[in-house]
Amino acid sequence: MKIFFLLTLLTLSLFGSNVNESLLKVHATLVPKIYLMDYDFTDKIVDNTITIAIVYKKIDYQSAKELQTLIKSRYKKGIQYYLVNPILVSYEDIDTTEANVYYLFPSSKKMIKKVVQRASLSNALTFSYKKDDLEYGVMISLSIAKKVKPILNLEAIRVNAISLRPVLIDISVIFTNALGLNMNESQIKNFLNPKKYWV
Amino acid sequence: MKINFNSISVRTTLHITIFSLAFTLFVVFVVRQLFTDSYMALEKDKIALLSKNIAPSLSLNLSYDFEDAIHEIMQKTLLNKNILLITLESYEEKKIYRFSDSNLTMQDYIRTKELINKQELKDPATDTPLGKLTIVYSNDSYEKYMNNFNIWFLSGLFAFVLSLLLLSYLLSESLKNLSVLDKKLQNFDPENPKQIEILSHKNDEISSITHSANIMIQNIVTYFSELREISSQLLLSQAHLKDAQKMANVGSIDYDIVSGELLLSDEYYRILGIPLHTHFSWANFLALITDEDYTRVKTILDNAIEKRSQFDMTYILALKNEKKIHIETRGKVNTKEDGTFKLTAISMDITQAVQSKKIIEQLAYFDPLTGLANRTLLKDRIQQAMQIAKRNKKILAIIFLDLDHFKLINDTLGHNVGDELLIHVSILLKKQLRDSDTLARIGGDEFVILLPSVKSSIDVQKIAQKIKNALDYKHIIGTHQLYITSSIGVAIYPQNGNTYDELIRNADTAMYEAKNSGRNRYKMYSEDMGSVADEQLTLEQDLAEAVKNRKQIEVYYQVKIDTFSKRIIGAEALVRWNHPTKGLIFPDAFINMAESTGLMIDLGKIITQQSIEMIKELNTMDILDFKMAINLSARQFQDDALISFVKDTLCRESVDSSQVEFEITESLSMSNMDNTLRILKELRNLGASIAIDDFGTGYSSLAYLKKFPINTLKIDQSFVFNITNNEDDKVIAQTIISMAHSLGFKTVAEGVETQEHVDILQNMECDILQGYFYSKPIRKEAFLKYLEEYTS
Repeated sequence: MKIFFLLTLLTLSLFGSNVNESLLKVHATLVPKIYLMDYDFTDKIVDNTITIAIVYKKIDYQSAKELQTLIKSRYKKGIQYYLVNPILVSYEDIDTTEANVYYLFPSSKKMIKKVVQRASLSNALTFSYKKDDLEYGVMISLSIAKKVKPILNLEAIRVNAISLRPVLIDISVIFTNALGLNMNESQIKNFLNPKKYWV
Repeated sequence: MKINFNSISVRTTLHITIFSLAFTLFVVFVVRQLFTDSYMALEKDKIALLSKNIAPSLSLNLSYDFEDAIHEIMQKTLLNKNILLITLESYEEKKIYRFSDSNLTMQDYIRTKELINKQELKDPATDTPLGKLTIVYSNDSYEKYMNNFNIWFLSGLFAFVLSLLLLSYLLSESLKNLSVLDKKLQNFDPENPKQIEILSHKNDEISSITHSANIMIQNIVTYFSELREISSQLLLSQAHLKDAQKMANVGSIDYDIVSGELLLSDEYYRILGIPLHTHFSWANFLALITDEDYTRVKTILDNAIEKRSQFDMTYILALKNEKKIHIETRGKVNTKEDGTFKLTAISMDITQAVQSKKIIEQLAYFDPLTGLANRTLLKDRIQQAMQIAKRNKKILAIIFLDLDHFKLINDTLGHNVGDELLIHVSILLKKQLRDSDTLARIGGDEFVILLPSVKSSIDVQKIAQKIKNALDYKHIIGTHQLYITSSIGVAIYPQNGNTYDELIRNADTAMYEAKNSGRNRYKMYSEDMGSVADEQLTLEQDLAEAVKNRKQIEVYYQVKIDTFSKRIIGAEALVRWNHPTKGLIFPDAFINMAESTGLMIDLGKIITQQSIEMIKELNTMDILDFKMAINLSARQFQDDALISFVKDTLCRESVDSSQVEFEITESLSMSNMDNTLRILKELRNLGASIAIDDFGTGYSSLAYLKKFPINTLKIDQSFVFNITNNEDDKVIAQTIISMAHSLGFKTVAEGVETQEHVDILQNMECDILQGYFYSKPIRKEAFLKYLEEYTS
């Protein structure tokens, strides 16, 4: 099953930004839940509603629409005490969009960074469909390897002053690249205690 | 080996064992459980921590539905060898993840008591229950831990038992000397106390106890010694108390008011005249009290019981033997702290004392011989009568009565006859008097009559005459017919005196006046009689002084001549009183006074002593065959010391007793025969001679003369005086001389005054002559000169 899933995913990647529907389901489930792992999310939400901006290019509109539908169906009654409001936002309209979570479908480096910048203005969480986008400052993605695990860009999270629950880090893969994060073990431990870290 | 479970070593070991067992059980059941619980808690904490460590990751993975991650975590957890099983139950997916190296089920693990931890997994973000994590943890480490614990515990127990045995042995060894001490103390004999040897040379508790035991033994020995002494003293005191109670007629009584028990001392039984220890109740005691005293005694006792007070009372008990005794009881009623409520008392039989008191009262106020009032009572009655007479302006009379020649009756017929006569007279006098009159005997033959209520002196004279007449006739006293008369003096109050002494003295003076006027009459007192009585009184006082000084008393000597050889063979000692103002007084004037005032004994001693001294002086002049005659009066015969005095004086003056002759009157010799005979015999035994003086004037019988140890009869001078012209006197003198000779007596003729007397008496063969013909009684110096001249 896993092998089949991986082969499918590999095939799709060979033909532009095709989006795996199964993966969308996983994302639709995880994105609101991961947002709740932010210690300060209650201070950020408005009208008791978690607004998830699904940022897409035209090519991925259907996938974005699909994701919106999946989220709405999955969290019809909201999550915990909060409503979940997924909205569709094109990269072009990103400047006027206010959201708690920005879910990024694949795009150019420039557009990705633009969204990242927009998100950082409101301390919003950024979530990318592709883990490669983590290089451009997206905070969270999914690692589809032997096992499916969240992959965290701790540097981006730190820069945006977002405090995540440690357990998320425990089960996640930490993103590293040549340009990116150079956090050693102690920095990671400090990161697990964000208040101390930021002080 | 017999184990004494009461010994300290066994008991100590047992105690240690019991307490140790209790401690061991405590360790086993409590501490072990505590250790178990603690260890289990640690183990559970460890599992809980493990569970807690993996729970968040599992929860989040479960929430994100990351199955692979869940598998990875659970497998990694199972790497811990102590974890036997780990399961995760997903509520949402209804799925159970199970990881284990064995096929054992959860029930198997529950049965084998493995440690099981269950934890509910919640979504870390939403806190929504997601599933349940169960971890089965092996209890091998616990079993291993407890096995180690048991091994160490048993090892410790074994070591402890060994220590206990060692301790028992050491204790037994240490306390062995205590058993030895115990046996020595058991064998301690207070009769033969011995010190206990020090059992341990160490300075330990046993040597200390031994030392203390020795001190205790010493104290016991001392205590027993003191106890024995106290006991013997107590027994002695009890015996003394009993004797004292017996001697004092004192009995003690102890009555328990609550129980009614009555205890009497031995002496009390004796006082009550009932056998010792006979049952005797309080009611029995009360029943003995006479009716006259019962109410009073009962009231005193009830009052003392009510007030818990002391009491003192006298009463009469009527004993069973119909004897009545007077009892004096002193006692008290008290309540003691122990609750006893007792009446204790001592009682004394005062019957004898009461009777004695009555006798004393009788003696104090009454004449023991006649039962008449004595001088004391008379004085009281007269003083009362004077007060009444004075108040009523009446007169009263005092009659002083003296029997004439009563002394002669006493001397001749004896005191018994005299006493009977006095009783007889008192009865006669009583008959003559009224009840209101007082008849008293104030001494000898002197009676005083108080007439408290008389109208005039004429009435008194009538009564005096009546009394005189009542006595003036023949009285039969025993076998004797006695004719008595009386001399009576009368004094009247207030004419003849205002005091008792004055009235008595004046009545006495009147009585003397009656005697001097010829006796057998009465005389009313008049003031001119006063000087005679006073003179008599003064003379008595002078005589007493003379006897005391001796200087005025002088012995004269009248020579005695042998009728035939005309040789001086002796003399008679005759007393004279050289009164400083009245001159020489002859015996007739003061001998009776000396007899009545009791001076005669001392006067007789003076005469006897001077006479014996005279013999001694004559002996020094080589006049050796000289016999001195000394007169003895009736009163001297009543002196118990007469014989010893004579003996001592003879001895002191070295005079042979044969040179002394004692003369007694015929009447003296006939009265109180037994006493006279005894004294005469003793004088004879000394070697002295005895002569009967004034023979022929008394009533002596020949039988008595034969019985008496007489050497000489002296013919009364009344016969000698008329021997020349009175034939009767001549015959009497001749008869006396013949009779004396026939009885072996010598004869002395007194009152020889003429040669004719000498011739006749010589013819009658009278042995010795004495009288004025030869010499009157002369003083010592004159007598010595006479002897010298007569001899030459």
